[in-house]
Amino acid sequence: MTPRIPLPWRAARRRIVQDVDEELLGHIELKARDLEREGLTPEDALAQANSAFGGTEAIGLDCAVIQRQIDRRKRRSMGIDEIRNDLRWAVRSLLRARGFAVFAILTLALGIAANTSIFSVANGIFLRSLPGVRNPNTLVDVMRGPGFVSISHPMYEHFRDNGVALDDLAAFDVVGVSLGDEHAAPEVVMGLQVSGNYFDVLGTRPAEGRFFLGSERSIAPGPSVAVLSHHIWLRRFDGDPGVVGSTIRVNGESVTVIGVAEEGFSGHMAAARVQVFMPLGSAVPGFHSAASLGNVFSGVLELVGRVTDGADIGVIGAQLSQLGQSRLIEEDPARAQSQYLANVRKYSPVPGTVRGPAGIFFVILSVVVGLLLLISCLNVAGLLISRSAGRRREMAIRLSLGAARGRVVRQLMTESLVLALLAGALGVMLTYWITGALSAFQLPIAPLPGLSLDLHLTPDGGVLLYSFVLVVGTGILFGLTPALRATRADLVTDLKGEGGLAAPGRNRLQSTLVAAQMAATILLLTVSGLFLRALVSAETLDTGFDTTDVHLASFDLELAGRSSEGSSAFYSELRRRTLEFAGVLDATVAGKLPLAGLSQMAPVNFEGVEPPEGTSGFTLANQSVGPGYFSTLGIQLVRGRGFQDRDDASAPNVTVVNEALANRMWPGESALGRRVTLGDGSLYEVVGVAATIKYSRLNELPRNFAYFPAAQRPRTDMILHLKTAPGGSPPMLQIREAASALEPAAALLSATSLDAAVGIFLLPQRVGAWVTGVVGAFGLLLGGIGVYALTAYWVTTNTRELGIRMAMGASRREVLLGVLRRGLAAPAVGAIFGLVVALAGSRFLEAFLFGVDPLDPLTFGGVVAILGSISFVANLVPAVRATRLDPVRALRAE
Amino acid sequence: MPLILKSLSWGPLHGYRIGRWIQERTEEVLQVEEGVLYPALHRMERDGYLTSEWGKNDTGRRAKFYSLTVLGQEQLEAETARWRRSALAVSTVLDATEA
Repeated sequence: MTPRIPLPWRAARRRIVQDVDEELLGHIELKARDLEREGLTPEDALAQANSAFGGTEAIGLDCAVIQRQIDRRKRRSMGIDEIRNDLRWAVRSLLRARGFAVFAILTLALGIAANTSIFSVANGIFLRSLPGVRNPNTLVDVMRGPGFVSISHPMYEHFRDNGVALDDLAAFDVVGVSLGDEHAAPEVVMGLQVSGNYFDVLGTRPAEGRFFLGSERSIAPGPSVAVLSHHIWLRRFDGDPGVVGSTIRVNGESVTVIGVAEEGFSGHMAAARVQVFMPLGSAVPGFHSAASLGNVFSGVLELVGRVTDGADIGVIGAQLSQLGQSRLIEEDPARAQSQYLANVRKYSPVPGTVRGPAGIFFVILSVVVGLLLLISCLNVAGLLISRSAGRRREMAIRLSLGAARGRVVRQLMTESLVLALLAGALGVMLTYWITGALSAFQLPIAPLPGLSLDLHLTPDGGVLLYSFVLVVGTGILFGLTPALRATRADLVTDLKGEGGLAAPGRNRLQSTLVAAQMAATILLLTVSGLFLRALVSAETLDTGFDTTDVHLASFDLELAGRSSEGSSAFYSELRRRTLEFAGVLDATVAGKLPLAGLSQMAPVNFEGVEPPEGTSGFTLANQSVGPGYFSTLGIQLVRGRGFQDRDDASAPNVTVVNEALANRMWPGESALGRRVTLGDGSLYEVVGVAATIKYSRLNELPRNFAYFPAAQRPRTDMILHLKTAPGGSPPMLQIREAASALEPAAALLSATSLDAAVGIFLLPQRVGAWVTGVVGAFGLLLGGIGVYALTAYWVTTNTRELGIRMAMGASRREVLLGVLRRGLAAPAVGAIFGLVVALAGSRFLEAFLFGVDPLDPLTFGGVVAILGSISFVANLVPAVRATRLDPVRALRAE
Repeated sequence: MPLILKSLSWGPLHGYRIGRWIQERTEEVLQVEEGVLYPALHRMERDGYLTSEWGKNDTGRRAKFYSLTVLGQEQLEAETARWRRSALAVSTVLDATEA
């Protein structure tokens, strides 16, 4: 048997029908009585009275329908009245406790603002769909695996033309370009060299002119054309439609503008603002030349493709891997040893190489601000409970006067939600302010000069919805438990005013709150502590080289059609001339910047050292540098000498190894004079040992490294390093002139400072340390207040019990210890819980910690010490106060 | 409707009494049919001219007593005035003698 569920509206319906029946029945009875008086028999009277109605059912039905309408209206207006009353009551009771309300609102607003700000940034980077990119769901990113390796142009064409399940496939590569015209000074902007079908694949439309057509789509040499972004078209060309067909200068070359992309479109990558789109193979310095694109083994491009809706990405990946493998074998079986692997993923505006770390970074920040909000909630919940103690009599009176518990809970919840909504409004205002400041913030570092990030951080509908859900959730989180607790008061004791002997349940709840708060605070402080430590250690980390006053100018002579060998005279002469310019203290050339990634070669053999088992030699990280490299970068030479002008192609081959390599290969012996054999059989004699520096990452362990003279292992692309007097500005114009005097086609690709170039590697730490530092400071403040307030309150509610104990002869010392022991138990449990979670979770931070151990004892010790002393003081003050109690007064209190 | 409103202007009555009152006052000219009276009462209650309360009638049965609301009072005055105006207009026409 299933019991009939007593639904409230069913009951109401039944009542209405009964009422109407009763009303009509009464009428019939009265009428029959009157008719009887006129002389009819009772039977006739009743029959006549009944017949007058001519069908009671129909009338009853009419009336019931109308009554139901009345009922519905009444209920609705009663609900609104109740809500209005609750609101009025909530506002009045909050106004009565203004200090509490202000504290609670500020606390919660900070938590909410921190959360919505982080969400806004994540939204701006990960979630916002990019304008001009149509149907992003059927786009895929294609790179070479494992990981994210670039793909060569012949391979791209092979993939594109052999169909598989790809409808179309485009290729692109980012390039910094200097954009100029006869009207205004050139500026450096982000450019994209793309395959001709790039816009077709994305579904982007032109705002003016057209996109690439016909021969512009081939990488074969032809007249250079460009498509401008809508943004730069407005900014630099005042939105003049006449710009289509006009000539601009890109990296010094004349280029015809053929079109303007649609409004808002600035490439398909988040945070990157691409201003100029040009076809792959454009004959412009800095772009991949048609010749360099021809090599099937050189990876230079990333691909983005359009798939048929519902296509299996895994199948496409397998097909492309197959295609890649067969193409490599066809080209050169010897070099196609390892299986070609295509990495096909669903398109994301965040490039694959940074998606993982950036995602983790945001998860960490979200956890941090989430913890802050949790602490705020716990704090306010604690305050509400303390407050409800003062209102227990009020609650008891209301309940004893017959108020339903649900009503009272609803009233208390209304109060909480009013608090939360006020805090939410303030929080969202703060968010607008914070994200406004963030959007306007110019990154202090430049990954490539002039390339500013393009972040749309203004909170949109999604962010506001997120905030609203957050606010309501917050209100329920901090309000519900205290409300339920407050209304479960024991009527008798509360009415009698015996609040002295606190109910054990209330204490347990408070202990839980204290413990939870402690755990959350510990987690928060651990994360911020680790980030701060990482920042300090990264900022003060001895990289082994000195970036101060070192400026950079990079060139690539391949663009001028020179070979590696043909380039070395240019670079040595450029260096020589640069040294003569005023203000230049030292100068050198190098193939790579420190920390910019490694070039490795294999096999390499060291005199008197057996190669690793099963190999023909070691893998050696290395680079080619010019004379003066060690002095310009301040790298210490431990033994021997650095390179000199005489170490040219005709001189004996020499090399400088680092200390780590020297110590590993020839422990306890001098490395000088030893010989190093490269894979091509050439021999290099060690003439110097340089200090070990950080080569690819700030947190790397000492690794083996060797330098070769630029003249003996030349390359076409090199970076001129020059050291100026402190604060001096580099003579870039003179350098540019000197370079073009030496080689008219030589183009200065970029000019920046080594500080700026290396600074990018510290960005996550800077942002992380800043955010978590600020959030951590608030967390510490709130956590401290929370622990203090709850403990102090506990002691207050136990005054009576303490009085009894002292009356029974307990000494002050015993009371003090008792209070401390009980007061510290909850924070200790919370601390242990928080520590366990922090210890288990901190390894997720490892990638951002730059060598700081995720279990860093200093951080953990510091956090425990700080929170430990706060809880101790928070306990000590009320505990000492408790010992000063006069037992008699304590007993009589209240 | 004005008759129902008028019937309640001296105090709350239940449905049967309202019907009787109208019948007596109009000297049995107007017979209020139950099938009209009750839906009208309920509709007027819905529209806010009347409120109701449960009480006991002469036989001791639970009965619904209607009374005028402020809105009902105003409606009564308005309808009375309108009735007078149209009654006057009609009688002016009917009483007219050729001039």
